[in-house]
Amino acid sequence: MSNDIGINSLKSLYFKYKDYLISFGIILVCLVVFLKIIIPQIKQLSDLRKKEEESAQKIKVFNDNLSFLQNISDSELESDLKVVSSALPSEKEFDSVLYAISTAANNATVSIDDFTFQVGKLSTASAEATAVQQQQENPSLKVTLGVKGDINQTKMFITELSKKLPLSETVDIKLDKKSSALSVFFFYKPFSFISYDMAVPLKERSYKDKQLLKEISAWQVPVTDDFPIFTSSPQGSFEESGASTSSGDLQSEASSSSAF
Amino acid sequence: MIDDINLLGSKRKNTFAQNKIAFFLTLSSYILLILVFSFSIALFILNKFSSYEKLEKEKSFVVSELSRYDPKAGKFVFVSSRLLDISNLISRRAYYDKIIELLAKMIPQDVDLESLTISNKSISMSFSSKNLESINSLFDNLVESAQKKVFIKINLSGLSSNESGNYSFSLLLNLE
Repeated sequence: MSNDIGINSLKSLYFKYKDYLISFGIILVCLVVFLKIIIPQIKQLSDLRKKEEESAQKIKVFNDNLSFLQNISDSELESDLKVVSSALPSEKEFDSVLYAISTAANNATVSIDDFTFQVGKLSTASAEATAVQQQQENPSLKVTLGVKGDINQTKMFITELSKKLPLSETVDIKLDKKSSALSVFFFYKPFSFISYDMAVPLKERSYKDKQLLKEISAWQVPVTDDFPIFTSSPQGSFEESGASTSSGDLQSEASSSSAF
Repeated sequence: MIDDINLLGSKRKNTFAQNKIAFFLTLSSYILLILVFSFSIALFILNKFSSYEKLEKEKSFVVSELSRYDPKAGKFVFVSSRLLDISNLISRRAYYDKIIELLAKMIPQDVDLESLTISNKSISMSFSSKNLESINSLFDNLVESAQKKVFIKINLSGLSSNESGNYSFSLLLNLE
């Protein structure tokens, strides 16, 4: 009985406010749909557009990089790699250093009295030291040289050595009338992790880099299997003879006297 | 007729106001319905025709193509990195050969360079000569080069002469 009264009163209320209720209900539903579905969808769509733009940009860079890499000559790249590896080897290359010294000595017509390598410890403990040294910016192999020659010849030897690979820097010079003692750093740089980001556009080498490559490629010293020994002739010229050797024989403080 | 006792008049006013509200509510609901419907259709179309998935597929394809060239890219990046190191090393190298050449040009013929030491941008030299004029000429040349900022400091020390009239002296030069 009471239920019937309740339903009847609800019905009467519904019919009384029917116009309002339906419209109000529609407005409410529309607002909920708009706020909860449409606005987030619009935001999502805007994000999607941004992602599309980013993807399009990345694809453009990837395509540019792809065509750039396809157009690089393999032989040219290998040649460049060889040049920079000769200029700045990944480890101490004693044979290259010796060839650079002997070629510079030959060109400057000086003779090398003796030379000393400051190699460092060749032990397991040295591996740790090497790791520490690897973190240094410019690790180097120090070579102390005794050069027989006057001031001009010594100057020419330093100039010649600075134009040989591996890259070197003469840091100390003690010179008298007939001979000099030089300390030379031969630089090397251990391989480090190369991070290549595909999304970064690869650019063609700058003119400066190309010129540098051209310049240092002319400084390369041809290294053969035979170790060169130069002997001074009475006229001051030098003769080359070959003898095989191995840089692995070098001790931690290798000192050698040779007739270049 | 007095309005206060005209019950019909007030009822008409209320009905008119209620109809007005109902009209605005109905109109608003239609407008909102149309808006929601339009937005829904527009969003559906925009989502349906979004090129994102297509772009992602294209990206994956290009990436897989590009990864075939990873060794080549690695070599290129390595060479670039080494060139930067080499350029830095060359630019900060001390060119002592040029300094020696410059000094050799300054030294007059009858002044003997007994020794020369270059270390840490400092040059020490010892000379001997019998000719004071030549020694003076050497000093003039050094002072001139100092004025050109080749050397920032020149110190003369231990000027002495022996019985045979030979003068010996030492110079300390500081490079910039």
